[in-house]
Amino acid sequence: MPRRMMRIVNGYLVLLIAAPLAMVGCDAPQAQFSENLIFMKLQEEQNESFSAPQQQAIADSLQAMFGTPDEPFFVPIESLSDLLDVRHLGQAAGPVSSDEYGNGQGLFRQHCVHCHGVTGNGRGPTAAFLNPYPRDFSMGKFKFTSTPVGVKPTTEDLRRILMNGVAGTSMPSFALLSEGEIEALIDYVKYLSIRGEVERQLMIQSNDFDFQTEDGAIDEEGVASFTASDFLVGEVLTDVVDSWLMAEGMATAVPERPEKFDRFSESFDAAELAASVDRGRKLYFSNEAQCVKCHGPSQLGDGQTNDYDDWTKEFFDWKQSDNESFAPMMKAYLALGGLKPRNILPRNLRKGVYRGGRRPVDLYWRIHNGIDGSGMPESNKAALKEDDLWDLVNYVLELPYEDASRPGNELSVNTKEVR
Amino acid sequence: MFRNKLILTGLLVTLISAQANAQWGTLSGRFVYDGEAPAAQPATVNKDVAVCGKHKLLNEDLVVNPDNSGIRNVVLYLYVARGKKAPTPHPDYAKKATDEVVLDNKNCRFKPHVVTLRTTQTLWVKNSDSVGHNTKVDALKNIPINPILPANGEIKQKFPKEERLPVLVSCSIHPWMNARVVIRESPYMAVTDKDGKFEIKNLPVGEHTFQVWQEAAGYVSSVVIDGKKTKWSRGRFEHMVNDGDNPLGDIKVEPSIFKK
Repeated sequence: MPRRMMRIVNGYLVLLIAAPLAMVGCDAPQAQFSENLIFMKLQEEQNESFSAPQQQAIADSLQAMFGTPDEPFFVPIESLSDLLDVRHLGQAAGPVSSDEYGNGQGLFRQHCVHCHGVTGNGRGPTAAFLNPYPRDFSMGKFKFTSTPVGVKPTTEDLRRILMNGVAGTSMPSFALLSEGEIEALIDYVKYLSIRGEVERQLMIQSNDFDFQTEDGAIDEEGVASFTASDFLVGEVLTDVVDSWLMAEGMATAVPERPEKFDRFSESFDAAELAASVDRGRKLYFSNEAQCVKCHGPSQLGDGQTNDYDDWTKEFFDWKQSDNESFAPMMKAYLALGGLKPRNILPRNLRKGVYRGGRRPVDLYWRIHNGIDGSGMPESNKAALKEDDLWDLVNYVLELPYEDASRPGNELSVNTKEVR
Repeated sequence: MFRNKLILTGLLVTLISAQANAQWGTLSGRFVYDGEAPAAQPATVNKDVAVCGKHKLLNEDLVVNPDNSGIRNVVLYLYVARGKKAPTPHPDYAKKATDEVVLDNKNCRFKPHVVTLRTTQTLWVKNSDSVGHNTKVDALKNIPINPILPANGEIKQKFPKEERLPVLVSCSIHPWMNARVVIRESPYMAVTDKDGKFEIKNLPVGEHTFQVWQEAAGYVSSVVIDGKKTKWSRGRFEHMVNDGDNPLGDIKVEPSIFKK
């Protein structure tokens, strides 16, 4: 197995291959991170085709900063210990095995890779058969977080997803794994996501560098300035890592849910809850909250939305579907591994299945913050206060038990002009 | 030729002006569609039709004036190379440095379609419509937002970091609605008007690089200036800005670069 060592010499990242291709254990093909060819094509649509040295410089830089799926690596930046434990990466990566004490190795390949893929791009072998598709970590976006839209999840958010799974999707609970194994997987997801986001940034920012001289030769100076650790680590990696570190303090604080709404509390007050649910219903149809627009007048998720999620919209623009270049373009993206676009549907609120968690606090977060990468917006803070949000949460929690034929729902704002 | 001449005259001007106080030049020009102007296409208005359907909305990816072939909403800004600092702007720009810049949801479209925002300014997103909207600003360097905007609602948000490319703004409720926010540190940026004209006032005299972008084209990379085919790699061109007016005249844009 090739061992890669990285040193920082004169400010440049230098790769040294210490033992070239010594003993590969078995006949299994060596796992490799795949290039984000879809994102590269998107960049090429905006700019020019990537030159061979440009592509090579990006690949080399990624390998120098992150290693391989068998030997993951993380640049020893100052804040690393706040971000993740590098030892976890070794435990989660690599082929599946266990040590003499029975501790599992290769956890990601054992539990996650069939859906999320070796690269964590959500395109593992089973991905195409699932609905919804598995998450692609490389965009650095996660849906069910305690943090506002655009902010990374906290470590706790990732843990909750691993422990509980995502109800209504193919993501199961991994609560049977040991605490240490969960920790290892959380850190490996962060690692894959950071790697994926750094790759995107390198593709974007490589457009500011020259990789070829005018006569087509490699521009050594340009390549050197791109692969300089000042740039790779000092700018690109640090930016992405900072966004993860910042998230830890940004979970939206949720005020205690009034105890009178809690059926299992001594202070439960059925009349208060019923009044709150009524207020929530009014809000659902209101101009201030506008839930009805997407979740529909019957709350079945059959409002007027037919949007796509951000992972799809990245390469799929349905507005261009009348354009003659659309079909060949879509074909090209699908050939590069893109998954067939599907509408993202607003949740059917009558099913009582909540992907991001069913606790009142989870629903409060969803309504208050919106859902990253989906069309679900954040609530308007000027219009909806804490009490209003609890009313909405209470209403949503009651909905699965309410008769669908219940009369008296207000006319939807879809069908009338709001004054 | 065109550039060499400009550089030569530019050099002379720089030499002459070196003794004088700081001098400022205004860059202007017009982007023109080099072919038959494509007809405006109606947008697919299939949500809140009762309200939005009456506005005869059009697709705004590429808006070409049928009278003079001017291309609307071409974005042009001062490009600052990595590691270089943007020049100190003319004192006039200080007045608007902390302005609130309006992006309105009006008649079921964003108004304006392309808005320029300095990193010190505040984006003031309004909803002047009688229907609710949401405004999803897909910022990359800044924290993106996606607030619900009730009828007559508003939100004010700062985007303190420069964005490399104009940022997409959309409304999940009304999928035909989109806009772009150009978020730059330097105030030297412009968006072409309905005739394709732009003007960047009071640039410091000297050689500058500009970058040109258009929604349906990405970087504007292939143009014809003074009858000469010119390639602008990554939409960039260098230009020597002299004291006073610096008209670039008509810049013809190859229709083939508009992919959409």
